[in-house]
Amino acid sequence: MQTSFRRLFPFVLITIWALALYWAIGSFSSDSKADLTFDNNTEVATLDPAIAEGQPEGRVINALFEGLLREEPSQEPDADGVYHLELIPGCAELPEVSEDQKVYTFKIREEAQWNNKQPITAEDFRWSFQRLLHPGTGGGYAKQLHYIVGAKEYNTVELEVGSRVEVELMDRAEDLVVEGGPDRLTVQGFPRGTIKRGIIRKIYRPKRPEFEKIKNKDKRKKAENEWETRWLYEVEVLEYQLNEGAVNPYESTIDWTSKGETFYFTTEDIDDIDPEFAKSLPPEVKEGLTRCHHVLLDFGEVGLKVLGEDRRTFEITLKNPTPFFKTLMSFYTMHPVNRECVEKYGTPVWTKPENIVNNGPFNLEFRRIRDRLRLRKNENYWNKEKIALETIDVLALNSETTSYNMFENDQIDWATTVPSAVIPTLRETNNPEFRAANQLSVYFYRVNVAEAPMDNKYFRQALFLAIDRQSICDNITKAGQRPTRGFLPFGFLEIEKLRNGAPYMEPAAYVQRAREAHKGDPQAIARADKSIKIDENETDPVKAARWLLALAGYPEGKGVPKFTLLYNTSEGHKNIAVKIQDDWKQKLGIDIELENNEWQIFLDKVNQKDYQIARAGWIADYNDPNSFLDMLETDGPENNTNWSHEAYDKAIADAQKEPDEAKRMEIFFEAEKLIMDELPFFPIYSYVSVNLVKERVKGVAPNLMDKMLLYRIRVEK
Amino acid sequence: MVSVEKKNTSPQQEVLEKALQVKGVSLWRDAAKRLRKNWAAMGSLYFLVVLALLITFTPLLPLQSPTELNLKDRQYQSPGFGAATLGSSEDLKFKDRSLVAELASYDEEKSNLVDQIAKETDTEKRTELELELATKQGIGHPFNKLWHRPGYITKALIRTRLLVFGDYCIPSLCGTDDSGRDVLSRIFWGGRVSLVVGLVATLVSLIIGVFYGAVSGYLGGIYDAIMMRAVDILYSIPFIFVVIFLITILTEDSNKAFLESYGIDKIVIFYFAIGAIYWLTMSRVVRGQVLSIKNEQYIDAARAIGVSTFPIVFRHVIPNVMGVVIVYLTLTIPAVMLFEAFLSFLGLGVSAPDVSWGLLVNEGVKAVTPNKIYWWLVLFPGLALAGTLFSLNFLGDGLRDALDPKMKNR
Amino acid sequence: MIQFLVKRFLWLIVTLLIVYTVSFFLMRSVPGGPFQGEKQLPPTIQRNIERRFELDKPLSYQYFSHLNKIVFQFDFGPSYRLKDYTVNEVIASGFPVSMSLGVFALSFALVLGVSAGVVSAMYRHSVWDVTLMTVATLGIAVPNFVLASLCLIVFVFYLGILPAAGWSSLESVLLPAFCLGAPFAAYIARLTRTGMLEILNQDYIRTAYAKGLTTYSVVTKHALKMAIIPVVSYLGPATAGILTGSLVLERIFAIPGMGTHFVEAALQRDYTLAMGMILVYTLILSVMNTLVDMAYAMLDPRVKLE
Repeated sequence: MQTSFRRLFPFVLITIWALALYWAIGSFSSDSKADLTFDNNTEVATLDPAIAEGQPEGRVINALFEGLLREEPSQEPDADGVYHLELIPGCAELPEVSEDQKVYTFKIREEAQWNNKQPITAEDFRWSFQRLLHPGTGGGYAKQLHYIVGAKEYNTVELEVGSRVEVELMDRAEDLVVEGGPDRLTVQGFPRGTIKRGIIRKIYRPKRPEFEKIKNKDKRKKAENEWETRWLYEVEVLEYQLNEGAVNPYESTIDWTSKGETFYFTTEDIDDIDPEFAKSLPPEVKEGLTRCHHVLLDFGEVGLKVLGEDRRTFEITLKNPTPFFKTLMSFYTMHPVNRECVEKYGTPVWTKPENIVNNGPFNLEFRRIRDRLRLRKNENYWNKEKIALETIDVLALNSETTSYNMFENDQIDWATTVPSAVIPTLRETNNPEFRAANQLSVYFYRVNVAEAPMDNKYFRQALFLAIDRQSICDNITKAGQRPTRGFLPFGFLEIEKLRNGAPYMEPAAYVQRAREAHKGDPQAIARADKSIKIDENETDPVKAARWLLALAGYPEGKGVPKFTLLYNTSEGHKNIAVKIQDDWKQKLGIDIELENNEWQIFLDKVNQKDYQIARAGWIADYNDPNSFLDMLETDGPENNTNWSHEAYDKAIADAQKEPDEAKRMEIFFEAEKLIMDELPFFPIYSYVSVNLVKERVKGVAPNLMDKMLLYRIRVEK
Repeated sequence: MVSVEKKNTSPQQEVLEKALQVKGVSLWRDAAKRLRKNWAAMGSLYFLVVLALLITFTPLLPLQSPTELNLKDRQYQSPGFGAATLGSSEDLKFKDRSLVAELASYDEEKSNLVDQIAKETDTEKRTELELELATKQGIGHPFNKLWHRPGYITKALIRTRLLVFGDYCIPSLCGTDDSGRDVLSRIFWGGRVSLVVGLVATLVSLIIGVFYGAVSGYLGGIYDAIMMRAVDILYSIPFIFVVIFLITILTEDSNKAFLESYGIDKIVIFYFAIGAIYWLTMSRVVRGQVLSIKNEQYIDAARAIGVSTFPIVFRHVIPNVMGVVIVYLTLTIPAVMLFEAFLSFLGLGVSAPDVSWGLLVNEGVKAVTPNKIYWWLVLFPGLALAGTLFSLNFLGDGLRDALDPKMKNR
Repeated sequence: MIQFLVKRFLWLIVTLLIVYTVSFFLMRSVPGGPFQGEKQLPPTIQRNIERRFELDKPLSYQYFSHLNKIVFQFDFGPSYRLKDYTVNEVIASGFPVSMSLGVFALSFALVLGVSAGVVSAMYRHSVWDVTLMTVATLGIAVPNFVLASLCLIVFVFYLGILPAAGWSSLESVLLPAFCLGAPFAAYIARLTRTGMLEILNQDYIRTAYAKGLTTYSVVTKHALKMAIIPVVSYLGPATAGILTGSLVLERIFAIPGMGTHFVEAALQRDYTLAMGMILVYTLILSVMNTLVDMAYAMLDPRVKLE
């Protein structure tokens, strides 16, 4: 028996191998070719509009969903060759705006419907906005709704005594399952338990830890936040009467002045309450303590109202006139999701092709991880005549070179990235497939101004002036990028007008301002003058840089402490960093270290402010200078430089309140000057978006936001 | 005494005398003889020796600067014979656009400064001058503008080179890369990194592996079982992942600062991370050998005269397994170099402006597109890497054939 | 036999446990949390996300809770980065792709390697032998991403007969499988050659020739069977090599297999996905080693399993 099996064994092996090969050959699915195949650069992290961030996600979500408005590239470019974006109606017509520019009224069109033919109402939007703002959803872009009255307080749980609040009780379906517990994956932080409404009468706080001892600002914030979650709320719960046919707790009548029953709520597990804190509580609190999911500002207080019998009117009230708010309503984060679908399957299961309910021009046919997803025309889209293509394949190639190879090999029709090595040839040969366009995006370096030598403004100015930005654009990036004129990229027409001829960035201007500032310190001026002689109208930035360097106390780069320039791993960033390292070494005599990290680690270091100079890039979220300038507000989440300037903060706050467009631009212009003088950021160049598009593909118009609308694309046979 | 009584020797003595006259052929001599007959292995050996010499003395060769950027007019130049001299770039602002001239003026300024310091009596001014001198010797040194932080020995070698060849450089025979740097020069400087990584990582694996294997094999029994089981477990761990992880963790800032206080930088971590994978096979090989020789009589003899375990392992066991180890070593070095190239491909290799062959090849691969094929960027670094690996493989094969008696007469 | 399998199984569990523990703590010690985005989240929201993934719990709780789920529900949890997927889904989508690529690569390696080895041994010292062995040594010496870019130039850009990348048809697998299998083919060729040479000198082969058998039947019936034993024992490491080696090729050819997910997971700090991947890899490697040991014992009566 044993021997005979042994004799057969080689044949067994061969059979196994043959079977494996047979399986492998058969494992290829035979998809038909889509009408359009394009590389979206990377796998979309999620299809959930509330959680998604990033351009690749945006392209797909814009195809699957449709917001109140849409933004389309203009048909003709302006004199600079820039395609601007114009707002057009989406699910709703263009809004009526009140005189004080604070109330927006959207009328949802009657034909608008989900792809399961349910009509879309303002309630869908209200619910989607609430979901986006709810802290349990974890929406990264929820910030964009903070301009709405009460939205920020709801989103970041800012409560005080007297606040009108809503409390979600622990009676969700999964809370009631005792054994095994809920499947965490389908658990969403979004409320599905009973909502109680009331007014905070008192807040019990545990002993405040000494946060001041925590040096790291972010860790301190986190600890403070952790402490806040341990607060107990004494809430006077009021009765409310739901209106007839109400679909949410806010369609109700509630008398905020009436008397109610007092409850004590905690969001923490009652057993986890610090014993010492428990001891300090009055007995009635200890006895009556109820655990709940969330205590939040009452959503009825947020400036979102659904009006009309048919619920087709959506009224949004803002804190300040915010001129770019309309644009925000076309942004993919604000696209609506279907309540029934989301609540039935939970997050993220509702995004599966078999479950998803969407309202955009395309439906999701299938999705293969890090391979492709297929979009198919949505026959139930209200404006389906506009859709030119039946199917679109969206690839996630993750490599510029591979993408380019596939484009040249005719496997894809459109590549959204182009390897820098081939750009010069493409430009030289005027290849019609190569589309480059100015983009509202800036490549810059962050400077951590907390430590020496970077805390010295003149040192920063010297470093900045010594960077040969023109050479970086001409010889490294080579796609037609241009050094920025200030911090803002090209494309803001009003700002360009204001800049007209202003010599603010000229080397001589830096020197002159420094001289004025040092009037009382002739010694320093003398030291700088000794280091290098400089004319009043000096045009050579290097000379000015050396003069400023001497003024900062480091003549000829003597005694500069070692510092490191950080960038995230990429060939392009490396080449620029090496060039800057070389510039500083040759021109200023400063030898620096370069360090590269993978994206996640890089981000962590920048966010922890654990760096000296770090590479950065910023793409406009909306077409307004505010999208760039609010980054540098004191302690702003994207500031990360420790830079803080009172006048600057005031300017940004003023601009948000200013209803007059021209005045607002002037404020931004002055704020930008501050950046260029203080230089917490070193702007390097204004981006150019590059795409490779086959000539048979029509309707891809390169534009300021690199926004390509898939339904507008046609393919000629 | 033998010669006196030669005439009346007994038969036994005669045999003994003959035996004494036969010159013993040691294993090594025998192996060397066989190796010499293997032309492929010998060719490889010579190639490697020449390569090692060239790379050790790279600073002496009249090469262009491996780090000097020339973005304006030298990007992606195909191989050519255009003349080049050191320090001719305008950006450098060297005296007479010549490194030799600049160096002379630098030396003069430096000695002036030294004199001044000697004469200066005011301590404050003195410290200022000393600072100036330090800056001059550091960043101000003309060599620092053309080479990346050369050490003392390298500086001395470059000086010698300037004496011999002056500013003359070999033209860009292998073309230039995307930043206008000379590829030939980068191949030589990158070779230093690659070979050192290969050698040191292999050495690390050798030390761990031989020690572990020898101890395990020699102790035998339960120790052997446990130690080898541990190796088996480690074997089934996908190590590429672990190395990627080790490198990302250990090069992280807080860890890095800690390690740097002990003089450990990224490249050292590299050696240990890679060495830590390759010791497994080495320990298995050594253990097998030790098992077979541990019952030899000379080991028994040593044990009988009371030598304790570790001296026996080190003095007797390890030297006797060296043959196998050397063979395995020549096969590990190329594997390590390949691995370094692989890590470079994933972006985890040495950091700019240092280069290694893996990094060069990877940069070259990225420049291969249907639009324009910058073939010299792949071909030459690829040739250097493949040639070296090729030779090491041949040499390893040759050594194995030479040292393995079974293969003796084939 | 059964004893052998039981023993192997126990060791496998120990190995997996060690791998789990080590990778768990390694990953948690790395800076750069998985939810670090370019836009910094307010702490309230950050905490809510962390709570959803149980990252707010103490490390020991996370360790056992995750282990418990893996062991009893075979659930590796949600992927941190691919927010719409669980780790199980990612593995289920990547695994067949990598397997398929691996089967093709191994087939290439075996067919090319064994035939080259036999030819080389039969015509020892001929031009064929020298050429084949030189190519084989080169095959080992050239990194596979270099080979891949050379193949791209020739087959895709110059001849234009194969697709540049992707994973949609049988043609698209040829290049990556060839590039992946090439170094192993080279090694197998050398192993086969050495094995053949050794066997061809044995007495029973001479006897076979003396019986008047043709060279063909001597080689296929007698010599090859014995000569291939070292090749079989090489299959274990070769499979491991092909599985991990596909990392690079999957990246170059944009193949959505395990390697792609693996590298991305490691670089993006996708804790759960990386952990799931590493455990699955370990499992495959161990199973392959066991199978190879068994096959070895089957082919060579002198080998006893222990």
